[in-house]
Amino acid sequence: MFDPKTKFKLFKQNKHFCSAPWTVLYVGMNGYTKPCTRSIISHDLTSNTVEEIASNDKYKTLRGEILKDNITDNCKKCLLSENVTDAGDFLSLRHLYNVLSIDSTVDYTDVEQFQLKALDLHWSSLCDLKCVTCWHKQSSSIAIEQNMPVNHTPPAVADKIIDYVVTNQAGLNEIYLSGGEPTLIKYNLKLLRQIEKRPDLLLRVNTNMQWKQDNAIIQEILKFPNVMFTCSIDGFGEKFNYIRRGGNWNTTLNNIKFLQAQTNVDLRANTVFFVLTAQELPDIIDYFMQEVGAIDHTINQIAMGQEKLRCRNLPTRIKKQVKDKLEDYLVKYSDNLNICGNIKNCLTELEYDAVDDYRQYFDNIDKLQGSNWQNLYPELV
Amino acid sequence: MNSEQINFSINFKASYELLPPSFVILNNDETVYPSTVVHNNYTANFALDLNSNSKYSLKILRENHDEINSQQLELTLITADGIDLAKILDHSKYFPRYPEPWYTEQTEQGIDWPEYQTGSLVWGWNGYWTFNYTTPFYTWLLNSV
Repeated sequence: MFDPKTKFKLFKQNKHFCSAPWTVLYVGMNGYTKPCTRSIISHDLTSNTVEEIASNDKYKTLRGEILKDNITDNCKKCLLSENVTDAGDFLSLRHLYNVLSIDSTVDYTDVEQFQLKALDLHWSSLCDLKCVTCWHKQSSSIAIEQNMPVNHTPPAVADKIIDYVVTNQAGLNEIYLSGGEPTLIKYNLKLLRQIEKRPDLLLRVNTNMQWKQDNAIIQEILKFPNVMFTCSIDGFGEKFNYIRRGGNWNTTLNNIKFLQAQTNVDLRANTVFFVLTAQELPDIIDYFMQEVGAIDHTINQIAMGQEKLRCRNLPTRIKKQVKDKLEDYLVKYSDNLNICGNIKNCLTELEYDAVDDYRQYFDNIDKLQGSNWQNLYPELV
Repeated sequence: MNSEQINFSINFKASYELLPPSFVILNNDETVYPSTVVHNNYTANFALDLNSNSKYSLKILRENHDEINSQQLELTLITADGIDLAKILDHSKYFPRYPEPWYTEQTEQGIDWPEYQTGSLVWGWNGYWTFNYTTPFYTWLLNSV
């Protein structure tokens, strides 16, 4: 058995330990896997087996560096997003993975071991929305609009992954479905049908909330006893409809009500912090935490090639208003480590000087869909 | 049976008018640190040989209060192999031995004093403090802190 004292040292005394390279199977969109969503290193499944993750040289090197408590290029970005607030130490993604993998019997001192504890599925960009925060690599609708290739895991690789997960499902603590839009990705249905509906298995779903309630994947998801839906929400009403191009706020509301009626479902929300959400973010958090009864709220800094939409590019006056409000919310949600950690990262973003202009981007969106962002956000013109 | 040795260190701080407090430390009712009077600050260091897959209860008997004059004993720090256990002491319990006839009088006046105080590390009346753990110790610690 792996020495408990060494395990304690790794999990609780090392400063940068992350269990993901030993236990997490992140499935990307083109037939590769990674230790986590933010990882740079990957394992090609078009020419290798899933089992070979254990002996993959890049994985072995990463595990070795983590054991030395080093900050690697692979993990630097994630570690930099960690912070300390009155709510405590915000440890970013590795906190989630370490909690999920703490009961693993894998020998973490062995750089050639892998034992599946968490599955993170992003195996297709198939999505019915063209959110202004997204890009062609993650939304098939945007890819088609821009005449770009659609990212999708080859069926043979998907079968390889499904076979591996079904065979090794006994140790799984979490399956995370994302995308694209996971309720449109048929691989999810094929996999979930073969997974035992255990109460100690958490099924997390990150969704745009535009699905029909009789969607076969939704119905299969709801058979699991422990489900957590993360609803992607970037505004209310017309602003929601503008940001989540192709999405409908009323559909979201109806689906929230539908999920609230399920006894096996917890709800949380996910908001992208960018120029169009900065001012409304506190209201969005309040709405979900207080009215919907969400258990948590994640705020992601915008990425996906949309750096011009970063909040650093807001007008100075708006930045000041947003900063003041978010500082109040650090106090208001001081008992919620995740919200506070995320808000602190928003405040850090607001400290940067503007480097780009977002206006042209939204003008171009308006040309594509006949909308008028200036009517919705006149203060940002 | 496999065993592991854990080195404990417990710091005490005393304040009193006439008589200093004392303590005895037991592990599963076996004395592991003898009766000791605390005049000001005191550190008790001791090692425990623990069997695998067992339940344990660390107990500190707090004694020598004359039930008349002011006296207080405080546990200011407890470490295991140098690891501060402060985060998990919320689960510890202190069982005061309320003095008579004061306790009966209080009860008759409708004042109910609790059987124990959870997470209390400052001890007035005589009594005992307990802290439960299991082995393998580091597996328990990993899941507790």
